[in-house]
Amino acid sequence: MKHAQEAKTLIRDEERMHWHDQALWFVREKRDRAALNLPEWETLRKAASRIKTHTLDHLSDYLIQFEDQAEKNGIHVHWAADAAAHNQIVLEILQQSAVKKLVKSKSMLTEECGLNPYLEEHGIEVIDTDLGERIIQLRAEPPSHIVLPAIHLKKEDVGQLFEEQLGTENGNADPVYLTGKAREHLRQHFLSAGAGLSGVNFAIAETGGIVLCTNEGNGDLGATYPPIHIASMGLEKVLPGLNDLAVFIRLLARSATGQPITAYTSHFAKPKPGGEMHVILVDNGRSRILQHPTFRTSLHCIRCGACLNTCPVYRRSGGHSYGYPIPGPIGSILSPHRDIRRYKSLPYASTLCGSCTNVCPVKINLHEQLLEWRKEVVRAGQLPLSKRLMMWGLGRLLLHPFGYRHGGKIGGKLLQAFPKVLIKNRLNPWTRGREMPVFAKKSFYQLYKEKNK
Amino acid sequence: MRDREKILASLQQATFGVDDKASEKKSGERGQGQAFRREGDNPFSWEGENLPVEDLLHQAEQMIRSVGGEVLKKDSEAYTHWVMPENALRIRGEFLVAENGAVWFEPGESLERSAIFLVEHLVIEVPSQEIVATMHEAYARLNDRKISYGTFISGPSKTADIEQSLVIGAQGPKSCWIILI
Repeated sequence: MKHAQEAKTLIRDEERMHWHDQALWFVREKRDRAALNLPEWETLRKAASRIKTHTLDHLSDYLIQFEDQAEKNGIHVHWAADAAAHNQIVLEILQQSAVKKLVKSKSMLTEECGLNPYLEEHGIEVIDTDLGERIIQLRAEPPSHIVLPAIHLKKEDVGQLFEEQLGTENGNADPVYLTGKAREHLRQHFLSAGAGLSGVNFAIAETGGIVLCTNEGNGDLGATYPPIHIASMGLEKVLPGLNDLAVFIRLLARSATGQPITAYTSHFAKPKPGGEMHVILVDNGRSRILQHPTFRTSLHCIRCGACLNTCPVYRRSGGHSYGYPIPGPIGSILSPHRDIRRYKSLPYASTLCGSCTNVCPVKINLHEQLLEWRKEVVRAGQLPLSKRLMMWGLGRLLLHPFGYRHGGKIGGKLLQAFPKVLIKNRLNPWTRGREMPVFAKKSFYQLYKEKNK
Repeated sequence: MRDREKILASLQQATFGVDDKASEKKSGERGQGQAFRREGDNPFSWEGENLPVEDLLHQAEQMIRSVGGEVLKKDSEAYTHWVMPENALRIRGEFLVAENGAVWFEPGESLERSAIFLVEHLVIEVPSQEIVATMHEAYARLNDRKISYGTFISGPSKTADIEQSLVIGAQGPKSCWIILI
């Protein structure tokens, strides 16, 4: 899988690419307005980063405290070392109560674990209830953004999909109409589901409770109506206490969509009377990332999506070109842990402009980690042959004083002598979509020598 | 080895981060499973100005309207003419948060948790004197309480999942009325 290759799908359709770019930038601008409204914004970012660093330093203690408190309140806490263990635990919980239908609200973790296909294989009907998620579920495609799963679709695409699958009016692409129809369609599923599964935005060690931040109401409906609530969370979602939570609640929605807060910020600390509640703590590689001095900061991530919205490469290539449930800058530093061979092109899907680092509410140094991953790709022997040869060749040339001093001049003269054919060919990918830069008549070294004669 | 033990063992292999000086002193206590309290308070201390309630209410009203909610004062002309919509649920909110117009609500024993999401319209009565400036104060208020389920409600349900067009009224209530009492 090569990001540049996959990106062609969107780039080929220039009009759609520009539309996608603008749509995402619009979300970035909303985030800017919300952030600039708070004079203490940078202080909040620093605090959030410090809270996360501290929490990660004591992660096992906080998780044990969370488990203690949660169990005291009647919540069943499970531990899953990997994706397979997580999926199995969910299945067992459902099978124990003979649940045939599960309603799910948005959870990137369950995408990561491949929960839906696993449950479906075992005869459980899974309904994704977040509108964006339901749209892509009906289209049988992965999400293209972690907060706005269907951002790659125009309303006409949704209109057509709903006409085929939900029987809506032909040619009606009005978002209000379509949302209303989806509401009716999904409401039936909530009322007939045996269990509801949600993600966890934050888990509070002090209280043993979890927090869900949503806008549509589907998350809470799925968690409160059916008799069983399952909450899946990555280990890194835990926070020490409510005072810490305040910092994050102020940062999350502003960073994600430019809202001061989501419509619902729900705290679940006890199962409902007569109901059952489960929290599954999932490792799936996180404890290993924690051990890495450079990459451990990536565990600060609160999945706001701000880095996606600002990234000039993501905006123009789209989420599907990353081949991983989480795309964009954060996805590019998380995915290589899973499979460096498969995702080696992702750290290179970047200009290292640093905009991601600039907007990250928890101060992850994303662009520095992208660079570090490039070094890892080289160390793992995964750099493509053409690049390796070029780097080797250039290295040999520049190693010698003659090559270093005159290589540029000679190269420039050659380029002038044999313009198009030598340069603009299949072996030089730089020229696809670009003109070669104009070389200066004299190199700096020449000018320096002349000046100092 | 059960997954729990596997995970905890793996976590304990991680080295310390650089920032937290306080954590180094506690190294002997790591992994003992005791309830862990860190030294000192939250690294963030928000010294908000002590704004008068009227100013906070004004900000809250602005925020509520900006997220698609409606605000009415109970002792007002507008309220006497107002008709509660059909299929609406009237609940009692506890306090407002000025920075985002959210209302804290706990259903308690008397109401099904899902009720506020199933209904078409939500009407929340909240005492106008019960208002805080920021989420820091809000959570300070909730700190010593045993919550079983509670939620900050900010406006009606909504979505922009279809080509970024904001639609008010997604899967939960289509409208949200805050009645200041």
